[in-house]
Amino acid sequence: MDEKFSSFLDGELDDDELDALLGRIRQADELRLAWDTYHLIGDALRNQLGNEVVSRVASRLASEPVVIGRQRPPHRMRKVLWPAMSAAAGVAAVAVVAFLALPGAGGDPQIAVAPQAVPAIIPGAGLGKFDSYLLAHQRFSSSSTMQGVAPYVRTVSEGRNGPPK
Amino acid sequence: MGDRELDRQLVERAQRGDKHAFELLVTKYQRKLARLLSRFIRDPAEVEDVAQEAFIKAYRALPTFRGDSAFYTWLYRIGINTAKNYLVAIGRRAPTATGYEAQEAEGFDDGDQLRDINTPESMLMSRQVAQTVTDAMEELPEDLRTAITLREIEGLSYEDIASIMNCPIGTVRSRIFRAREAIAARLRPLLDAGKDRRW
Repeated sequence: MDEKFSSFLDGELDDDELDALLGRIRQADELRLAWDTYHLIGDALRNQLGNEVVSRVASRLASEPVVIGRQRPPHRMRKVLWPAMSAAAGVAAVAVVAFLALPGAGGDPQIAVAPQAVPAIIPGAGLGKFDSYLLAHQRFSSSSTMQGVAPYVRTVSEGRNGPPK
Repeated sequence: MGDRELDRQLVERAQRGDKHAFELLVTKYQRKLARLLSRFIRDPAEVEDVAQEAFIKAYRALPTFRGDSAFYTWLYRIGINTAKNYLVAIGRRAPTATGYEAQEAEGFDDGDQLRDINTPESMLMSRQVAQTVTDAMEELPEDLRTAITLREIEGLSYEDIASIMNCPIGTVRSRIFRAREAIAARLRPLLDAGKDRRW
């Protein structure tokens, strides 16, 4: 018996020492007896002596199926994991925002294909009116991910060659 | 780390399938739970039955224990419900008028009611244990007696005790250990003699 065991009883050991001591208790009847006696002394000092049922519970426990559940990482691991998880969450948030900010990535791809057919449903329309229509709907063009005036040039040059057949 | 942290460690081990860790919790809380249950049930044999059942229920429910409350609060709540269900099952009413709930159970102290929960034999043994501990305490050097009193009765941490006694934590650790060993040495002949241990 040593001071460390007494400290263990009071929850005054760190995690590593505690793990080691719990392993020792499993092996040593002497430590089990000391655990029992020390708690008996504490209960006696607090006037909390009462019936003991540990032997009966132990024999019942022996026939109980092992319960498995709700495992949390060790205390020390949580201290390490929380900042790491926070950092990972921050990086993930930045990545999502950056992805959405990419031209076209967060746009409306489902309607980007539609404007190509628009000129065909305005047969004989005046060129000026057609241009203004294209300009007004430029952002719906399938090539709207291209920067600058390129989409407009392509669409208008197509229009000037005559309406699509 | 603290007492509650130790319980948490034992619970987590039990939740990983270590029955041995749960038995340590049973040893630690069996007498407190029995005294709590004696508020509801007077027959000592019935108290033991219900206490045993409460511990088994707690073991089976371990996967649902999230650790939001202290283990003993959770255990006492199971104990109170088990006692009430037992009384209903045998057609007796639980003493709801006392309004005795788990929150109040945490710090209850009913040492004066020793006679109510023990059989004559176990009451004699309990008194012998209590007297032996008292005698051993009186024989302790002052610094050992103060250290273990601050720890066991006042529930202070080693750091707080060191501050009060104006000594290093290592000295507190040593004093508490030596006090326990001195008392345990006085108790051992009594414990070895008692086959049916009911304190």
